[in-house]
Amino acid sequence: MSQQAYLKGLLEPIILKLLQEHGSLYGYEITQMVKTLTAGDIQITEGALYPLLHKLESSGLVETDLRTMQNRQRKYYSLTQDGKKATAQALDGLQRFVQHLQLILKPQTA
Amino acid sequence: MERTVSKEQTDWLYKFCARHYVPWYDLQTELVDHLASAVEQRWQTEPNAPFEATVEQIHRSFGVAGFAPVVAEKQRQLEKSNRRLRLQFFKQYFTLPKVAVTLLLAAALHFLCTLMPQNIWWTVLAAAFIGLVVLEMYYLARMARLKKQQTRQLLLTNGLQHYLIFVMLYGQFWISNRIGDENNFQIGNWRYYLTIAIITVASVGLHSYYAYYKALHQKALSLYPQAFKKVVA
Repeated sequence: MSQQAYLKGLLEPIILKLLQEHGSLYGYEITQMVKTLTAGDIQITEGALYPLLHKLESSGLVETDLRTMQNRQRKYYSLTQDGKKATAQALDGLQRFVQHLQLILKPQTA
Repeated sequence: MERTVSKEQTDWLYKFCARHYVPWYDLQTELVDHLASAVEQRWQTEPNAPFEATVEQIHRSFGVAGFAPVVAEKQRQLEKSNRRLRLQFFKQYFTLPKVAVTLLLAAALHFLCTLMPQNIWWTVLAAAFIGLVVLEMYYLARMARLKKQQTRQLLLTNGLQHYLIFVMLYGQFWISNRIGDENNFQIGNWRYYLTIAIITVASVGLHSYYAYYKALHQKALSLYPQAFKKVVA
């Protein structure tokens, strides 16, 4: 099973974490950041990224601002106050999940 | 020197999005930047890669449905957030002074009905329905004027609704029913109070809908000034 297959439910905490770390990011930057950090093992597709970003925006977890670059405009996403709280909760939940997963994968023998 | 996407190529990307069923400037802007960033990234390793063919390749990475899933989710999320905003504006009419004015309006309507001779009191309510139609037409004209300031389509302001259609249907039903059976509608029965309540709530809803649309227009103007006509000061 490829790492991509595990990604579906993890995409939201990954994006929230990146926004928490970097303040504000634009869509393409997020895809490239994930690709670089995981040495290409995990690739976020555009068809998954933008619908999720728009959902997070609509639910008030992220806010956007448009900045003018050389010849075009760029939409940046950043966490709102609610988004910061949701990120902490999501990461906490994810860490607990990973711990549980490790217990299953590497059970400690008595 | 690094090769970057030119102004002409950016304009071409907007047209490319429109050709691929994304006619809305707000969504196009994000997709154009994504495509342009990906092209520029490609040019770092392949400086001579042709622009249009590279864009086509990047577009294919969106999957077989192209931009469609992005558009569908954006529409769904905007509908949700706009619905919340509409409700927020409607709720603003439930402060004590505004509720008092609304109740006064309903009481005035009732008082006018009781003042009229017995067989024609219902014309007051019929006139109120007609008044609502006129008011809606007035607000629709004002909203259309706001919309005309846009030079490009925006998904954000796409869903202008004809708010009172159901109220009008009820009004038509009420008037024809009243003419058909006088005993059905009498001052003081539940149908009478329901009708007054509907007229009152509909007029409040109409005001709040216009306020909501104006706020949406302002938001769109501040976010995407390029999608509007330049206002000469």
